[in-house]
Amino acid sequence: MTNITKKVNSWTRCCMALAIVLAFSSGLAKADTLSDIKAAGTVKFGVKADVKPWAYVDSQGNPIGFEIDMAKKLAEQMGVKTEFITVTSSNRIQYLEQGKIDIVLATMSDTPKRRKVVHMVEPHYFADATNVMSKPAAGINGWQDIKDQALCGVNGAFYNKWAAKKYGSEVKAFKGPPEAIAALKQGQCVGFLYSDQILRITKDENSDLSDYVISLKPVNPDYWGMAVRKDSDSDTLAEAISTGITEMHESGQLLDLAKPYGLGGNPFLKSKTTD
Amino acid sequence: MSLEAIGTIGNFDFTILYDDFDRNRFLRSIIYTMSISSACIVISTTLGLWLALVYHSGRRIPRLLIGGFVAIFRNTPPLIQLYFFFFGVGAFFGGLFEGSLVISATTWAVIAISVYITAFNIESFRAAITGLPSGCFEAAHALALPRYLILFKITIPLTIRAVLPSLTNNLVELIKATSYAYTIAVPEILYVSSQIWADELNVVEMMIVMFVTYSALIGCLIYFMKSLEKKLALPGYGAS
Repeated sequence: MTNITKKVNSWTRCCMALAIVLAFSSGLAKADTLSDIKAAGTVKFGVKADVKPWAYVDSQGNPIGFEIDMAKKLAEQMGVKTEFITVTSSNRIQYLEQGKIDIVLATMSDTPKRRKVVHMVEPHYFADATNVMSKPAAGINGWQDIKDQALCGVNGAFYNKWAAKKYGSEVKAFKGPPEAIAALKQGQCVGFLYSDQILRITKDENSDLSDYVISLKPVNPDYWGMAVRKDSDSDTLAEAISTGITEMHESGQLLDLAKPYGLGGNPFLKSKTTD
Repeated sequence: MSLEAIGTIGNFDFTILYDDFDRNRFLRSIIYTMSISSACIVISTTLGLWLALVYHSGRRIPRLLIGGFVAIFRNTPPLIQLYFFFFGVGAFFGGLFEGSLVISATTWAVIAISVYITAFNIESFRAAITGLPSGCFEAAHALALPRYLILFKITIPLTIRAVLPSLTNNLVELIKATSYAYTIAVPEILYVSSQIWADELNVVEMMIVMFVTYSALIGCLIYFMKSLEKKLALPGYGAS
């Protein structure tokens, strides 16, 4: 009996010691996000899945697009593989905060409000503006024409509240561009409020949008940036991305990546190349 | 303490307390949810009772049709029904008459949710009707009461008493189902909350507010249904 009691006691002590060691070691083992990524061998990008040609899916369901290609090049520079996780405008920051993704690369504009919550990486990788797509019959020829009208939009876009406050428009925000366009075609709204270049490309890609026009002057120039978490652990990751983007701009690689997607004419990208 | 100070206690940011724009749209959304719910409750309860009575009358073709209706709208998820009505049927209507016949998203939401809960109500009312004591009807026949009198003086009052617990369940589900309308941009509570958290980046705060709001709304419904049950309870009937 006493032998068994001795064994149980020493077993309990062994477990307690192990628990204490593990508790301390988890504190010591805390490294920054970039080291974690390199150790794991993959970096998780939060990307969109329905914004052609920045980030969409091919017929097999694989992510493709300008942002996807850029992500792959950045991952190459870090020496890791990519993992793409689909996000939307309304959950991309939450996914980042929860750790589901390491980097947001999802057509996200750099705004002061977002900077309070995430660490925006500069330089920006793209720039766009706000515009409205509508039928000529709707008579939207100037920004004043959207006053008190119903517009379709995408949930999470920062200019939805701007349009509602400045012009009193009612912005019906849907999950993504396809749903908003379906509602526009039905007549639920007079126009689709979205990013200027995305509107132009969507219109070119879809033959059934051929009788729609994008007639307003693009306003609210907005710069798109990648974002990482706002804690000090992600600082080295932010630096690595920043260096990577700067190199891609200066060498003209970013503009080259944009050309096959019809984005080669973007004035921001052209201005950033040093030649 | 100013509202702004209360709203930004700790790490929280309850913008609906101090920001006029957010507060107004949130309050309007509560009214919206209550209106949609009321419309759906009236439609689905009336239709449920009427169709259950028709089903109970036993004629073959109405039974088949009603059975088919219940099967379709009970066996499919409500969100898919809503998408089908808004994006599917809506696109068809939008193409007719050069887009002059546009059915608003709110109308589609009321149609879809009413029809969904009607399917459940038909079954609840049917259970209540078949559970009615046959002694009442034997007595009515013995008194040679006409059919319409039996229907309005005996069947319907007794059915309403019997159906209340099950109906309460269905109506609670109805109020919760109104939140599906956020996918078609109907400005009810969930939609407006998601707009606010997209603009202000205060997800957790709006989640808390939504939970409290929906609990309060459904709590009111349950209080009303329970007091109705008490009022209509037959003395000496049921477990004491």
